[in-house]
Amino acid sequence: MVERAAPRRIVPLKIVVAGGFGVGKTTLVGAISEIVPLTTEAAMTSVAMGVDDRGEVMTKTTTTVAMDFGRITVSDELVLYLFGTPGQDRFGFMWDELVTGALGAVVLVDSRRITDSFAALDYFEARSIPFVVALNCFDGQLHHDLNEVRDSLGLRAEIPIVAIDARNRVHVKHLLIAALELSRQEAINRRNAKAAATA
Amino acid sequence: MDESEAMMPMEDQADPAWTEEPEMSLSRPFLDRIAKSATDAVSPKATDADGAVRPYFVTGGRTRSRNRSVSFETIVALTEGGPGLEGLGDERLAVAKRAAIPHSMAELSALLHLPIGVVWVLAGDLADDGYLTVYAPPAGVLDDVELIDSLIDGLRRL
Repeated sequence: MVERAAPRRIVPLKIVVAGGFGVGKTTLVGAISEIVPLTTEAAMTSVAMGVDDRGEVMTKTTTTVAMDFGRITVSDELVLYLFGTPGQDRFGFMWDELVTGALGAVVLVDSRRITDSFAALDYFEARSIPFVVALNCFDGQLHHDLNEVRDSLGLRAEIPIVAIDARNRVHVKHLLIAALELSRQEAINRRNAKAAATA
Repeated sequence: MDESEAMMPMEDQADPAWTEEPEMSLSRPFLDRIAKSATDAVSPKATDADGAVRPYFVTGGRTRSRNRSVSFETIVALTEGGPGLEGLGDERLAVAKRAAIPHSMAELSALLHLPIGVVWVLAGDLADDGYLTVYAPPAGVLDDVELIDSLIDGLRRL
């Protein structure tokens, strides 16, 4: 027998965690998620027409791309989802969908492979989406100086950069709060600008 | 309206960069589970020559629900006093049963091994027909300082 869900207010919210392949996004999500990170798939049917040596063929293939995510029930009403977004090259067709409405964004960086994070940085900057940069310290080691990494990434001064261990729940918690505080400040700035414009 | 939507090419596959992706593994999702009902129900053919089911066949080719506001985090829950589930097709029944506990679209996709686009359509249809209640992310969240505050407070208490 299926038990019916009790009606109540539920507010789903999300934060996106972007970064290159293998940078630790799923680890980060798993460190704070109340569920083991789940994997959702997007199936794309791509139709490629071509001619091979036997004559005309039309090939249909279905490709899937996986995205890991977790959930934090923050209160009776607020449910926060964390989406670890695959690289823009592989998941570009869904980035807009995924990022729209996100309350915060994190770009996770491996300082030994910083170019992997460029696509995510470009994306957020081009759309003026506030984001925090987190340098994942693999094995608890900070391989590069934070300011060097900031320079290498060409980050504007107002973009926070922090060093974290993606396995550490407290680190991740503070990272998410930092991302939200940035969004909060942006919201306040917009509100003030609006008030000034109408005054 | 719905039929014209059904005939439209899927928006998501329009990105040429995507179709050029060479190293993607090829797979055809949920072959076994849909094959029977889908092929029984309809022509044109639901399957390719090798028997594989096209992933969006079950949705009539739609990649978006009639209600287009769905997102990854949109939560659905079985509506109290809603219509009985008997008579629902396999996939819709599976979605409805899972929604006895509120679940997001992303969770339904993961738990049911259905592509997110399929879940959007199925859950959207079920909501339109009164089975499911939709809890969408509130409009204007990015400007809702109070909401962000309560989220920050909640995280701090974790």
